[in-house]
Amino acid sequence: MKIQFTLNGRQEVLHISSDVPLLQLLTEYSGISSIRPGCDRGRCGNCVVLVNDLPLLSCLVPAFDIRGRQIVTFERFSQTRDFTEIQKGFTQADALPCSFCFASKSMLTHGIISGNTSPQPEEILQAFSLNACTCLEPSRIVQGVQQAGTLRGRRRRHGRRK
Amino acid sequence: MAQKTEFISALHEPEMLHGTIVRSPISRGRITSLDIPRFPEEVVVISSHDIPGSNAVRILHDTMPLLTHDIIQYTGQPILAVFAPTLEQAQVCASSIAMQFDTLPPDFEQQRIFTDSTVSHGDADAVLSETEQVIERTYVTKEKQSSFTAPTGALTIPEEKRIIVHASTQWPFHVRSCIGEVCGVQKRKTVVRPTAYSPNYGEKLIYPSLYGCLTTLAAVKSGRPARLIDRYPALSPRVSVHRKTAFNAQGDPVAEDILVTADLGAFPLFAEEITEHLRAGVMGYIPMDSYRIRVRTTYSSNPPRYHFDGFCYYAGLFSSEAQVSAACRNLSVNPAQWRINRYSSSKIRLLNGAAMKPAPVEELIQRVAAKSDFNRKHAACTMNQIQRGRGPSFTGYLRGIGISAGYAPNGFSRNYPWEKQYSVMVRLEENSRLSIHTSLCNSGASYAWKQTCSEILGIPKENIEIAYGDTSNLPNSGPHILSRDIAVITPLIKRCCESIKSQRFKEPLPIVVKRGFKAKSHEPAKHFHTFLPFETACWAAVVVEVEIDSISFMPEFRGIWCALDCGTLFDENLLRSNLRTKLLKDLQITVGERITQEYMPKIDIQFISRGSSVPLSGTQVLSGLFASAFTSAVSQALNTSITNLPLSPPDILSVLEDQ
Repeated sequence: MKIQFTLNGRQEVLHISSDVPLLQLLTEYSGISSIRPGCDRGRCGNCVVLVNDLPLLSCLVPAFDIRGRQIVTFERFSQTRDFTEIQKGFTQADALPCSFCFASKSMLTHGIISGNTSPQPEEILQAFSLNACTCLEPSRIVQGVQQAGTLRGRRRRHGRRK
Repeated sequence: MAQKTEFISALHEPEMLHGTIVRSPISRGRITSLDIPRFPEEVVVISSHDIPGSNAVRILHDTMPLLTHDIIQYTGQPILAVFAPTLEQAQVCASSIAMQFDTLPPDFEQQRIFTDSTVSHGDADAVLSETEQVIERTYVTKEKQSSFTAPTGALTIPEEKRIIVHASTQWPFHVRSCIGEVCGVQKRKTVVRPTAYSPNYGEKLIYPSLYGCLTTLAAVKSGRPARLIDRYPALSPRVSVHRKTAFNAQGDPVAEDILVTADLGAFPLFAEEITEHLRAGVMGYIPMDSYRIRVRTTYSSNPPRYHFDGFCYYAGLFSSEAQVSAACRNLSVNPAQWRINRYSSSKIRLLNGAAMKPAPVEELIQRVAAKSDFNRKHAACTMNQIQRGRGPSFTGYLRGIGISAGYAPNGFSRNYPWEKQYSVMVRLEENSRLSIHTSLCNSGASYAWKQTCSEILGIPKENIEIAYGDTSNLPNSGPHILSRDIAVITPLIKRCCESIKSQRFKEPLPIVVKRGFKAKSHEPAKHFHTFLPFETACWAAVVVEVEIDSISFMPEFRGIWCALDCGTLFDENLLRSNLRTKLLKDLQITVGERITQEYMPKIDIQFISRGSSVPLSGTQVLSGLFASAFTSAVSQALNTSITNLPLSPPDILSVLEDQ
């Protein structure tokens, strides 16, 4: 099956079986190395990528479902200002995730604060339930995401004023 | 030196082959036919006939076969390895291989004894038969599966004169020696580079050596790089501890008979070390005149077990503390006070009467009891239990609180022949730049090493680096298990720095100091009656409060309080975070359910420092203590004795139905 999509801003065309998971497609065919899969079954939550700016578990997305979509992995995301804000927010909250889940937690945070820059703790923890890594206390996660949201909100307001 | 390492899944090489393992679908029998279709040229199939050396991964005298072509001894036993340009192609090829078997009935019972060791003193049987008050329980810790960890695997890159192997291993030099023995490649021509593997729970001790051999065989056969990442579930041993304890009229334990059985699966590895850790775990620390401790390891048709959480120490500690809690329930005494009365910190003695270094048990128990308001809550839960026994009331909630205290050892129990080779190296260069060289370069203890060096030599931490390298340029520091990185490597680095300090400003730069490990030279069982055969021990106390949800029967954690004596503290926040991560992992395994972020309990961790000159690892001790405090709390909530772990909501429901 011919699948056309955008990966990290670059057009990609692959001839691949339609049921290959996006995770396999990215790691084996597109040379993406930032993903840290732990289970391949949607349980560990460590293979998050942004599909049309929404954080999704790449092991659960079949290849046919990404036709014409924008895929962003941590390689690209880590170079954006959105990521810098998230990193700053977590650092300010003294809540740095471990190297195994860092990429996924950053993109989950992006998913939350893209829609709402003042998320409630329940909303944050519900979204983070996707990721099974327990390296951060829930209260620290909440503080980190809220701090990142504050920075994102400040930038948006600043941008609007300009 | 290479930069900080990557995870094995992130490593890609041009022309790389991806591998998958063809495993046995049956648990016992014989292969009668193996039909491998004609695959395209680029597909490489590795069978036991392709192995030029020994077809086994070896640890001392114990071995585990790499691939089998004849006898099947457990479900999932590797038969073939298939490598292809894509993983999908390798999997398709693997699934097209037809296999036929003569099946034999599996042997899952723990009947076949591998090792059997007994230590005893006095006449335990006589005392037990004469005493009226005897508590008899069997504590079972079922197989635990470590999940959601970094991938396990290896990547071999063939070069003209050498072979480079990247492996997510806790023991790089074992991978190298296995490749030498299995693939017939000279050690000097094999370079093993450890990749990042954290978080790990012991499953990366042996399997990466096996995968490293398979990828090397494929790489040599095809002349192309070969990678194999495997996620076959690895399980810890099932441990059963039968304890029979006699109490005198004053409620003091006077004799104990303990039988421990650990099923190590089809190919037991490290059986002696597991025996020592189990024996230390079940001992407890109430001296008795009469005791008998028998530890048996068995083999069965189960897959080989891996060395989860300190060689089963947690299972022994769980049983000894749960037995104390059961005794306190029977005697209707406050378990915190009972423990304090018996464990006077000035004269801690083990069950065998061996004296231990002064331990702050009393202080640890008092700290967690005060912080958790244990005494009041324990009394309230006991009252609630009595009320419930009289019939329905408004206070009929299922709530309980449990406490436990104990220690866990760090390091091996004996001097193994290979330990003489273990060392670390520290190098001081110009501009006060210091580098630490050890094969455990991926350890999370690097912050402690940097802090140690910084304090001794007065060098800023930014000037200190951990050298990332491989087996060709790093000293062999042994396996990364049993918290050796903290308990063994840190003191070695300290010794190196002290030597550098004495040479500094006298000798020309660079100053390079290497220090080797000197293990105690003894056979632990022979000296059982005199001392504890480990490097160091970390003491802790834990309180767990639970309420059983009346609809889902899920134990809801209302709080977890821990106090530890971790010796020298380097980074309190980082240590607290590591312990919390470990405890949450244990918690999920204990209740057999994944707990999402919304329901994760608050964990209070306090440290006390008794001025120990070395740091101590607290992860092992928390596993066993958490398990026993949790079962004590649930036992109080359900008004019954809980002796099996994990304890999931269906188990709780069946207990309530029985009631």
